[in-house]
Amino acid sequence: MVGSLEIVFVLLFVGAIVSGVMRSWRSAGVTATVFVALATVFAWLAGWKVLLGGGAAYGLIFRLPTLGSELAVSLDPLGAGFLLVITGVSLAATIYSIGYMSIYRDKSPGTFYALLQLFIAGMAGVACVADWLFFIVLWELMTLASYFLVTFERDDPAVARAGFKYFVMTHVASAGLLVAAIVLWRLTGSFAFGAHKAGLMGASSSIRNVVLALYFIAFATKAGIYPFGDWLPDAHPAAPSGVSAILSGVMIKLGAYGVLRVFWGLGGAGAAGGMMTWGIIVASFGVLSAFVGGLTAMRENDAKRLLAYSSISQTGYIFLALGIWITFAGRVGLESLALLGLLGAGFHILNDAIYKSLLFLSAGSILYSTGTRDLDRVGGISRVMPVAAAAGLVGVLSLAGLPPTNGFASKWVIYQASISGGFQFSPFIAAAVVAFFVSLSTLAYSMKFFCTAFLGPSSTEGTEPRPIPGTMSFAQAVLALICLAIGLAPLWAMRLVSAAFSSSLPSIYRNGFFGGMSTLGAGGEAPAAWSPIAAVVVLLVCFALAQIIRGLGRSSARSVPGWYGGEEHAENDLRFRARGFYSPFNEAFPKVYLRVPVPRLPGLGRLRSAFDLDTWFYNPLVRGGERAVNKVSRSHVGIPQLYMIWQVAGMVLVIAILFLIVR
Amino acid sequence: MHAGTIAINGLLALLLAPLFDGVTRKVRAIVHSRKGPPLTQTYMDILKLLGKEDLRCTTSAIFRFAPAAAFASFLVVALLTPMGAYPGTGLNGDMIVWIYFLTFGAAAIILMASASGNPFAKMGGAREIMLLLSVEPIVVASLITAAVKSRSLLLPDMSAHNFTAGPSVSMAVAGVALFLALQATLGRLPFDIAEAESEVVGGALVEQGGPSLALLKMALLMRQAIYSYILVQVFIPWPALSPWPLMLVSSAVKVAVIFVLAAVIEAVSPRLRIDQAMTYMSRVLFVALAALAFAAIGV
Repeated sequence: MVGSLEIVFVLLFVGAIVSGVMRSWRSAGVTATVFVALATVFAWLAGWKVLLGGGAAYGLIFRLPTLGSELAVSLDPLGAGFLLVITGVSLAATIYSIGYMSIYRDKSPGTFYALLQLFIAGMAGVACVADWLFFIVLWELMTLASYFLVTFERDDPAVARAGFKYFVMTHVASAGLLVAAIVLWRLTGSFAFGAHKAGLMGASSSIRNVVLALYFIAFATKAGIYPFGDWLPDAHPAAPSGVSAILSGVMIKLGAYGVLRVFWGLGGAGAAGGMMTWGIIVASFGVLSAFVGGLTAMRENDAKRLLAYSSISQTGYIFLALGIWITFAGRVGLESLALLGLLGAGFHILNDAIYKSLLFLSAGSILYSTGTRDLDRVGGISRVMPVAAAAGLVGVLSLAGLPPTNGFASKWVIYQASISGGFQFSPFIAAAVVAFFVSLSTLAYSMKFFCTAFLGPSSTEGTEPRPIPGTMSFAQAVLALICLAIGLAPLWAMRLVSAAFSSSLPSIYRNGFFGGMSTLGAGGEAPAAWSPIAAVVVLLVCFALAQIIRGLGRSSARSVPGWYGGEEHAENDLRFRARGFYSPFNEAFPKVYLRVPVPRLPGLGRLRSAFDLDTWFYNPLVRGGERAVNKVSRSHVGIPQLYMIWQVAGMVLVIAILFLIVR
Repeated sequence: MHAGTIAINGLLALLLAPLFDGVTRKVRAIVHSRKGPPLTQTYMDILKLLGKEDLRCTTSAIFRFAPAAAFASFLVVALLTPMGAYPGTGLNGDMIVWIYFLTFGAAAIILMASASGNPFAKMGGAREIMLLLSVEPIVVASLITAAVKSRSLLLPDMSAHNFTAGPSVSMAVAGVALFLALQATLGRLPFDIAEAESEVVGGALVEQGGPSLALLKMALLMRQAIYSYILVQVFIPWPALSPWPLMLVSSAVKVAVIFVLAAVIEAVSPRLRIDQAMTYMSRVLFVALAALAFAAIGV
């Protein structure tokens, strides 16, 4: 029987082929959107069923009995949760690309959309397998497709270098993944997730730690955790914006997915001590990454690089929460703390996926409208794109974690987890203080991003900003609405997150006021409360009160020019540029993000061409054919006598052959 | 949720905040050997501003509605702050929500500054964020110390904990740290860097006038009162008085004393540069972290 999950992949592969042969950006974009939308519908049908029903979907495709491996679409609640996010965000990014990709007039639309759909299929596949061998195969499909998408503007040497770095770093890490899987295969004779889990539990502690280290490095590299994820700040800005949104929104979250898979259920009785160490390691890298990413984003003036560093920072929060979960998982009496960490991580994965993809789309809109991503040179573009600007505002408020957005709700859970975790293990308190500080730096760079690009006088350097197509605004508006909806009803979203972990939410969270959340403090966690709807109602009442107070004096309003100390200035002299933001602060902190320099390799362009059929197969074939035809055409000189001689010679040859045969 | 407490907290914040400013102005005048304005001067200033013309240098909606948004968010914070009314706070006074609504108000002001397009305003906004970045870790560390001691993230629980457990080393050190940072949280000299009239002519507020300016002034005054109330209620709530109206009066008096101290410091200090302020705050942060360490070992 073919389930709806198989249809998802069939649709994406067929979509890749169909849109792959199209020649115009518009038709290819619309076709790809239709296929991705259909795939999303089927993925959501299957995903919701698994998530809410609590069961699992399973459909065998083929077995490799000698290896103990099988390819099957197999969806459990955790995979289902990720599948929903992957397809949802990808659909928004694909819709956005219809309008956005028109800036790449000279590039091939077929290639882009075929790769995009293969990329989505790879990510969805990673969430839908329960076998490490095929997990790695699909992981590689995802990495390879995203590599080509990152290097889509390959004529730019910086992009080629970024792609090279991404390619090398993720593949070295994936090799570790393969080694880990093979070690466990030797122990168990199978590649199934369940068998590897049992093998890991039964292995000696040294083997277990080596395997866990390999897994952790591989997944931390993909997730962009400092210092493993050094590829991220180069690769994410290099890709076309729709792809950046998917890369930052969902692909790097699959690193967290891998960590969840590997450490799931490991905190059993025997391994608890070792697991605590691993929890602390994961949390430490998370905190380091959050801190370094946040401070580096503050000094960045390139819209997309700023967001790339913020992705590093936000993934740090996710890993901090995962670390808290791993530390306390399976320890008697501390189940609530483990659950808080787990829910915080899951909830932040969901929320960061939504607002980060929204913000990358915003950055794309800046680029589309003004032709640059340099925040020093743009300004005031909210005039030409009011809807996108409002969506961008929701995005930066979510990123900064301000109530009542979704970003606040998940950070609230993470703080709660880390302060409550600190009651048991004090260093987590320090983690909470750092997390608060990083959250303020998040406010700082998100304000820098929004204020310089969208507010103030419009830039007069370069071209006049142009409006963006409706599809781009639409994709951003939908994501912004989801941010607000989750922010206002966090408990309902948390129910889905806890369903993905098959965990029991009611044991921690009581139904607060109007869909709010509050904890009771029964299981070692601190009592806390967040009722967004109540808070928003009170906020609106206070806002109305403020407007009433404002109207009390019956004062009149008048439009005036700005005041610049009584002098007249050209508009450009008045701009407070992005590089001026926080310069004293940035000078006080040395450059904290140490980069791995990429050598200027001469053969870098060849790496991509090694995988490019056009470069080493079709083009040489066509050129060879052309050359052969040219040689033949040289005999056609247009002189009748010469043709006559050829004819006579041919005739003599034919007669000679006939004589030979007849005789 | 307790409607009575909400009403009391709201009224206290709206009515007392200008009075505390009046106290400050009077004290400053005394230090300067001036007579100074009457205690009610700030009320009159705000009422007068409400009747003045509202000047708008841009049509941006953010510029237009941000003053009310900042006012509303600080008023919400006031409702979350324990001020001595029973029981504790009106809304569920969660510490994280408290901090983030304060940040929300600051963000509204910064957005407004950028929307005005005035470089002075933008510079003031950027300074505001840098000051937040250096001060807020101290506030957070002090509050987390209280959270660790009381095993709760709810502000009323932290306040109540003092009465059940008595004073402790960690809470005292955290209180000292918060007091050392107070001048900056109040936005007063030597840390009025974000508004700095003589440098950035009022910073974020430069383009505001009339009723908008009145709302913003009220918002900033309420923020000063809120920070002082947290210092008083969480770190020095003694003595426990009953019935609760007495508690209300005693904490208001204590807040007034804090304002007097702040005014004296303000009157004798020059303004620091932002980098000097950051250096100072990083030292105070060590005090706050020491408090956390004490709390972690249980003293």
